Amino acid sequence: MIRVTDLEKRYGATAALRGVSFEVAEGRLAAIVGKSGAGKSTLLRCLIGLETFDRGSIRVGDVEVLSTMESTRRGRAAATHALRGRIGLVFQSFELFPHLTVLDNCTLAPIRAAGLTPAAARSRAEELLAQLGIADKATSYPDHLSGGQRQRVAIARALAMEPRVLLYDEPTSALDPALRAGVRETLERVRSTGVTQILVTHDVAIARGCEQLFVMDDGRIVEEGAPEAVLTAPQSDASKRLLVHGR
Amino acid sequence: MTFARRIFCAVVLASCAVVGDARADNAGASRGRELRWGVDVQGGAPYAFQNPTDPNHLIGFEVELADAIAARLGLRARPVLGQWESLLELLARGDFDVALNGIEVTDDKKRVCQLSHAYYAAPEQLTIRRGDAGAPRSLDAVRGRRVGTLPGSLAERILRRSGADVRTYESGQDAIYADLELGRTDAVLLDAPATLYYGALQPDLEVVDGDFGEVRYAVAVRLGDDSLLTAVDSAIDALGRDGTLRRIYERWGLWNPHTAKLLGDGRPTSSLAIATELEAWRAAVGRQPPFWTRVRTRYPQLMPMFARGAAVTLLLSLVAMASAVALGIVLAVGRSFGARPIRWLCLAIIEVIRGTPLFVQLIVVYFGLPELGLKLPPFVAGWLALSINYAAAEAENYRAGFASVPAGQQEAAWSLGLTRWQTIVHVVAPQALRVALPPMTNDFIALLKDSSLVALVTITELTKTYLNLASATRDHLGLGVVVAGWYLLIGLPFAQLARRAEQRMARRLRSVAS
Repeated sequence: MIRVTDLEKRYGATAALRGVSFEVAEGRLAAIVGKSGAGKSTLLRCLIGLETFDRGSIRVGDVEVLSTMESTRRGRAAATHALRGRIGLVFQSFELFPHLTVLDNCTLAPIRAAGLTPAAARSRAEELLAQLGIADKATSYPDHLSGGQRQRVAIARALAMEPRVLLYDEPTSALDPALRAGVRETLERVRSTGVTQILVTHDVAIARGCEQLFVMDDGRIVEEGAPEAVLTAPQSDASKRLLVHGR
Repeated sequence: MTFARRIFCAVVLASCAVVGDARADNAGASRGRELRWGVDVQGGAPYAFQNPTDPNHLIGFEVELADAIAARLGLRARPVLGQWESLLELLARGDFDVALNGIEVTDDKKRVCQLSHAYYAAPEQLTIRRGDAGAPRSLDAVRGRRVGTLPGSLAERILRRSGADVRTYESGQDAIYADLELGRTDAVLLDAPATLYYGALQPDLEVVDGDFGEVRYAVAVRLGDDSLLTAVDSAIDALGRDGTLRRIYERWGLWNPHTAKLLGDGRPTSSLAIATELEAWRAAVGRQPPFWTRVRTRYPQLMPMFARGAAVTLLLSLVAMASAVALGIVLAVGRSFGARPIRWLCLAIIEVIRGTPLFVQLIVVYFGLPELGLKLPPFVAGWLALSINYAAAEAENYRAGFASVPAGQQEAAWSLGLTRWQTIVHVVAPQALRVALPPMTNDFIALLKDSSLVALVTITELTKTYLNLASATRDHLGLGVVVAGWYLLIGLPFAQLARRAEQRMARRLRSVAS
């Protein structure tokens, strides 16, 4: 379970997040949609601990990260570190490590950060690669893979740290239209592991297949609900605009 | 990489033995039973130089003189090689006990050392091109004319006083006379011994009669080393009295009225019909055998000396590069990832090092640090100066390498829970290496060549070996080819190794699209 409460973030005089709250239950697949500039990327960077925030809190399981107002630097650093162990991120451009093989990409953090033995990390990684249908690419280097394969490696790499929540930054934008259908299948495969998944995207089509939908606009969640309900009868202007432009 | 490691080990092992030797030649801290005398064999004949027919041996009238003085003191003479311009500084630093190498008696030297009784006196001699009607033939005539000589010599001062357009040469007498022959200068003023062994040897040059001043040579002793000075003085006096000096000078063709007067000898002309050493020199270098004959007969016996010089160059370059890389990494990491004060500190260090010449750094390390009580052996000083100098270049290479790795890579590593340090070591550095490797290879080759500067601090490496031999055999071109070959020989394997490593990395990172 992930719960975000009243998240606020300012860059100087500009407010990027103006009190974002949402909750996604264990094992669910959710999407946060919104046009560019709505605050999606800032939210993502706060969730993964790449940015601090001014107010509010993020809780995953028993770990809670507080804002700079309500915590000390040291306490926040420890909580952020703990949170990183529970939240994984699949970057928009995947950010695979080009100097490492697929297998090494997936075992580096488990060995160095989680303290697994190389053998244990390896068997976990091989299992994940098999689950995602790319077991045969284990010894390849990232630059030799197709876009869809790279995405799966990025997912396997994140899952190898056994996160409770997996975030996706624009999971379809770096892929050819032909490959986008494959993303749906990948999400389903990951769902079977019981991980909570949140897609942050402006691609309404991929959001449609999720169980929960949040519409963001101007640093706030302006609408939420089941995707079918929100998308067939949008209440907010932002949702209506998305339906017109975001297909 | 095991191949590279094997080569590295072999080189280090092989070089250790050689440098062990070289250090015995150079550092030699113990006074013990030896008289360590400072000399620059690049100065050439007839002072102290490598025997052109057997370059493994030093010969020259000053070699015999040093042996004779040492014998008088009950010691064994051991030459320590340094640059002629810095002999007195090396002496002050304690690298040897006395400097004995055509050191002229002048008042200004008395501030930095003590001079013994003079052991030799000679006229300054002017040499011109034969048949050059407009050539200057007196001191009055040199005003405004281009005249070559050695830097820091009495001859230079005489020329400057006379208003000549003085050209000085670091590279020895051969170069001075070569420029005269080529018409780049109008005359050369040098001490009689140098004139006799170089200028007078050239059929198209003419030594002018006339009085151009007198020079006297003495042994330099460290300030405060009074007992040694007294001992050297009485040794020279005794050698003058018993005729030893006269016999030495006569064999070398150097006996003259000036020296006869100096030593109180009533016979101003030589008693020998033939100056044997002078004739041997003429026979050896008077006419060079053709290149291929030299390649067959002369160069093979020089190879051990070149190999020794090359080993010193290679070992010094390897250890200097290794520490430059280590220091460079520290500076680059501090500059790229450190907190702001650390970044600024690293930047300041890099700029100061980068902004000053290696030459200056070497002088500061070798001659400056002793003032603060830190006296480093020559090899260590050379190592330190080269390491510091190249660390700055390496730091900038690695910084550029770090900067070439997209920020997303670091964020990806952090999001996976890697610490900052783990991110640098496992994610950023390996990718940065690909960008940094080609300039690193360049730097190593450049360092191989820059290491020749350490000749300044009494280390005889590859370039100095060449300069000494070229000066002794007057074979600059042929030996130049040989020394170039040696540099290629030690540099090429590393270039090749780096190329292979680059290719390996490129294969991994080849994009599917390309």
